[in-house]
Amino acid sequence: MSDLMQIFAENRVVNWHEHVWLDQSGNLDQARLSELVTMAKATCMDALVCSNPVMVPECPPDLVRRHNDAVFEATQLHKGLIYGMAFVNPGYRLESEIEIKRCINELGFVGVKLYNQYLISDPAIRDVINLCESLDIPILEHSGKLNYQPETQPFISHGTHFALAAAEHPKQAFIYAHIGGGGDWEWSIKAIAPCPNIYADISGSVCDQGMIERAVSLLGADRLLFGTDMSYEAGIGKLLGADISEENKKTILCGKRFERYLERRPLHAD
Amino acid sequence: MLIDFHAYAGHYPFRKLPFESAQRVFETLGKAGISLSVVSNINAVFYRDAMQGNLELAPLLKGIDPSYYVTACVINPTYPGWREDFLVCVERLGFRVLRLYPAYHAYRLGCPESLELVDLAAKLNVPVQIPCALENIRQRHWMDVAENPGVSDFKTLIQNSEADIVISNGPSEHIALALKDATQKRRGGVYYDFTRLYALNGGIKRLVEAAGADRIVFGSLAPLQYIEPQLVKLNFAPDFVPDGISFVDKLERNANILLRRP
Repeated sequence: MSDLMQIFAENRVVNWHEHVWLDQSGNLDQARLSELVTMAKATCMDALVCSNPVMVPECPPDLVRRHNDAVFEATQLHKGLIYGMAFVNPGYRLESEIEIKRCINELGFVGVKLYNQYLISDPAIRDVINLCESLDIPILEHSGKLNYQPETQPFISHGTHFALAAAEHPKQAFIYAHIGGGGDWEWSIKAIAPCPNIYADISGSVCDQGMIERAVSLLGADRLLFGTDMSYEAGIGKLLGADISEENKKTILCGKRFERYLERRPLHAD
Repeated sequence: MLIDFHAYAGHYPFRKLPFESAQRVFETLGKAGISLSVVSNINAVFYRDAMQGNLELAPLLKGIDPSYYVTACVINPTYPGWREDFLVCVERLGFRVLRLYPAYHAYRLGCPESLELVDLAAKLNVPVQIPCALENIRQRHWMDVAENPGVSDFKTLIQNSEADIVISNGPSEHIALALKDATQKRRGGVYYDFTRLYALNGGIKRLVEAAGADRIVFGSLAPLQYIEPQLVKLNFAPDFVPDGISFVDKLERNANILLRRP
């Protein structure tokens, strides 16, 4: 391992934003999973928290279940490396509750992933958030303050939406996904800064100089989680390049405050 | 030796950059192992008269060892006096690269003025660099431009000019594939950086296959972006260059050819 990657080689690295996918026949895409695991090993990742969201507005419960089953299969193929996040479409309230309970209690998943079917502050998803709170699991929500037209994701949540949800559910841990995932990251970091129950992962392809420093300055390193979201070199490089202390980098890499979610469920259900 | 073909000095109007001086930018580039950077003034993109930004560059770079940089001028070919400005930049002020920002300066790369400027660059033996973007389009400020040059713009340009062209910070793999046939028939080369591609998922390898190993350069986009993501890519770039030269050495050689350096 080169000197450049030393901090990754010498410390525990938890990647809180990755994905597995279905292939064209609707099964776990083994080729992409293999690529993911190869990349993870090459870059010294110790844990990958993966989801498989349905990225279109219409996602009925049976499709959601199939996506989560693929994540479970990946966790079984790579025990101890891959952890699961349960994706649900919260518009299907009752089905979502059943699916979350199945994924957490039976499949050993560690949290819930929401995409852009609803804003995180939409009252329609209150029950899903309440359930997550009662199960003591984090919610990772696809996010971004998109500034371009035409608007392609009308219900993507940005920092202001997160702040509203966090105020309503002060005990729930929210993860603002990919501050480097495109969109006005300055807006969102500033909006979530006053809410101690909102965390952010640093994944995404955007590598703007100063992004990590600003996030550490406003949120603190212990509210930041390492992630890549398929942009491996971007996630790694922006952390390496950030002008923050070595200690803060290690804090972000291991996701100290989130470690308990992984520790609590060290064994996946068989 | 790592040569960076895409660096900047100056102020960016839409976001505070952590490095307020060019000295800090070059310190960071040096720490990253970059020994030579092609640098222009960001202000030249945003001033109505780009030449005023070009004239500001020398004072911005004052105190920096000139062996660490090559200067690039920014010319808007639709602005009065552009021809004289470009000649002054190249013949009197020592600029060795021309940078074009068609989206910011509201023209198409294939318009007559643009083609005339690129022809003049070819005659003066000056490579022409076209940065596709300064920032990701999804986060742009409401006063920023809302588009990037696209494949058809590049196609028109390369089919109607002979200059060496460097396409930076774009979807290089996609553009290189789309321009593959057109680039093979021209005298000047069409070069790409891999700022928006990745090594670990095979993106850089596919770019090399589409454009040729002789057509890739390194670009950091400092100080707008962290340099380290590009270094991580180099760290994981496989040594797939067929003639036995390492990828990093190949990048250096390509940049030297473009900069007419021995």
